[in-house]
Amino acid sequence: MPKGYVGKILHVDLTSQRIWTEEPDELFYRTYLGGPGIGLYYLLKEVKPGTGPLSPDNVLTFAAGLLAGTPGPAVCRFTVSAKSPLTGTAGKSEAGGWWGPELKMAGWDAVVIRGRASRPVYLRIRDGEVEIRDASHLWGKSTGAAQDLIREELGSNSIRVAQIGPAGENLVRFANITNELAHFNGRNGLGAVMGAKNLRAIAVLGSGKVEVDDLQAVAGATRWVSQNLEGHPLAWGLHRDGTPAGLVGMNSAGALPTNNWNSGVFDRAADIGGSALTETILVARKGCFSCPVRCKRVVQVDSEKFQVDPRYGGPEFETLAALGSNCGIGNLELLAKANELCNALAMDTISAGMTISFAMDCFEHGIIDEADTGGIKLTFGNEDALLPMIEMMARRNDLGAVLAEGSVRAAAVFGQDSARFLRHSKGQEIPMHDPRVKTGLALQYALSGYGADHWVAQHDPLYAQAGSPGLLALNPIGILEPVPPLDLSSRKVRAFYYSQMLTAAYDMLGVCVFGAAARSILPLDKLVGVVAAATGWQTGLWEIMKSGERLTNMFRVFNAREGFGTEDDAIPELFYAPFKTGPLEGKGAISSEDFKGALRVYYQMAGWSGDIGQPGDVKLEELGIGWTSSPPA
Amino acid sequence: MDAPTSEMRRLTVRLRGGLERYTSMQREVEIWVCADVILADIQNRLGIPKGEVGLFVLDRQIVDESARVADASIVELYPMFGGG
Repeated sequence: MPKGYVGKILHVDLTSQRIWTEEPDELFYRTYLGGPGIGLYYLLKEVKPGTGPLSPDNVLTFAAGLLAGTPGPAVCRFTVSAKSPLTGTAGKSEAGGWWGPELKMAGWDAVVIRGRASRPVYLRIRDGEVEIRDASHLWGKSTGAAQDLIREELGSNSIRVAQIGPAGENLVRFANITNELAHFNGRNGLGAVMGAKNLRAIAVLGSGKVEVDDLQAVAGATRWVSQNLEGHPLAWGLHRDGTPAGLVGMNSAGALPTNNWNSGVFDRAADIGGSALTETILVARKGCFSCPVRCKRVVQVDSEKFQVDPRYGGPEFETLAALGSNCGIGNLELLAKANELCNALAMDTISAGMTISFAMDCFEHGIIDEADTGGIKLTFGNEDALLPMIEMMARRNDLGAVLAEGSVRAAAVFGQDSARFLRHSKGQEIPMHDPRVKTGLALQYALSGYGADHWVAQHDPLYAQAGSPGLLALNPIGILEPVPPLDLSSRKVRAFYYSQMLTAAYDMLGVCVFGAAARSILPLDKLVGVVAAATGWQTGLWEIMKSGERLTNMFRVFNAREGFGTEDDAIPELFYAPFKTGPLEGKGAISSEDFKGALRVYYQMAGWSGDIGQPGDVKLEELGIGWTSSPPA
Repeated sequence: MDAPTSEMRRLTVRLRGGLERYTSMQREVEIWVCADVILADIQNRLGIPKGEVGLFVLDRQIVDESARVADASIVELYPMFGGG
């Protein structure tokens, strides 16, 4: 009997309405674990090169992490995978919350969806029962309204709903997927893939439990985290202040994305930072299934101008920066409302903010004007523009129809020299971390298999100080000496590569980076113990790290099939120039030569052919995925 | 707190992003230190665990924990930040 995982994968063909079950063997789970490992397996097996991301032939997978649903600490996450409509690469996006554990309690490790329904539908999964139900009455509804309707008609307020909103229905290329209204598979536009399949939601209720080999050991790790949380500075900081705590510090460093990254200093940063949020609009701290850290913010606003529903959670750092400083907006209540609006429409706040800021730059430079914007003065800092722009994109109204394609495609429409205002890697807008103060982020953005992302690996400051908890936590994977944040030598590449393997494995296991080393409390020896105790496997850090390496190579293989090469391992030109303002004015420029050298070092460390940056057959065999060298015919 | 002498330096330390919990929730404190101290010593003296400070700013310049202070310096300490 499987332990830690269920051993069943649900398959649904929305075109034929056929539903079936697959029961992979233990070797499958031990090779691909869960989450993106399972998602990439089906992408590589079934999606032919050149398949349209919004076509019925794209394969959409919802896969719980291997440990999700066990009582282990901060291991609740699940991944949605498909070919991304934003990047054209393999796409994947994780979310916390309760949906992943609920799926396993209902008897499934993953749901693989093919085809396209002839009309809007949603899936109902209740223990072993699966049903395709009409969703016509949900189409066009906000996520909150749709969740209420689904729970009402299924007769349970405990049912967990993963769903898209109007943005996904309208095929916005950065539409996301939400569960519990406040947890998101945020990036890569996978909500549009659901929308293209006419699939509004997957509602899950399970009454089972996930069997583990040694319950005492698994649950004991969670107790240990609870008991030691307050003594761990990074984990306790996440609980107390959430991710917004870093915003003011980033601003002081001169590295807070401001006005489409044209500045690193925002004069209203303190108004939208963690302290301001805590002191003014925070009403609760929440968390995810079996996670003692509880880093999620819940905000409420009830002012003359704005009402913000706490059901939609609260803005993270990325949201406050992308929609806030990056658009020149320092009104916290407005940003809380913008966050609520994006969540009700189910649209990624990073790409939404970055696409608006791109349009603002174009407006400021006369590339577009009020005739294009429907009379909106789209200047940095114009508070009146933010909410209408979000609505326009989600509804594909007027200029919103162009921006809903993402900033890169919008630049192609705007023409002139608008491309100089783009900040992306592989077509995905960059998140809110400036590589000019931590060069590992440049490697993350360029080498991510799914477009610019900020959790491809551990962040440089975590392993920059001798004796720090972050560095000590990474000792077990061979990162033994501090590496300065601005270093771009082979030492940095090595630290990046090792922590990339670890972080990829986290995604496969369902581990949250805000619960485990190095950003948080769970040390690697205890994590390995949880994996062993949950599954009964005789395993270790070596096997777990190799799993992460395997996943990284699976992305690389898929993307090579789609025509991506070393020329796509790029960062925005912006980062080759120094900061224009603030304490780092005139400093920080990344050397193009150093960066290209670091990429070459990476390819060789990864065992990839140095000139084309691809794993060869022998490397794939070493990872146990030699079969991936042949794409589906 | 050390008694000030002519060889000591007076600093203003600003604590941000939750670090003020180490100074009884005071976001700005004034301290006297010996002339040869570095920022890591100040962090230690305030009782902030190693690794909790992610950013040291000294007189509006980003520095590392080994930076030395001048009289009347303003030190800003921000927590470790690794993405969100």
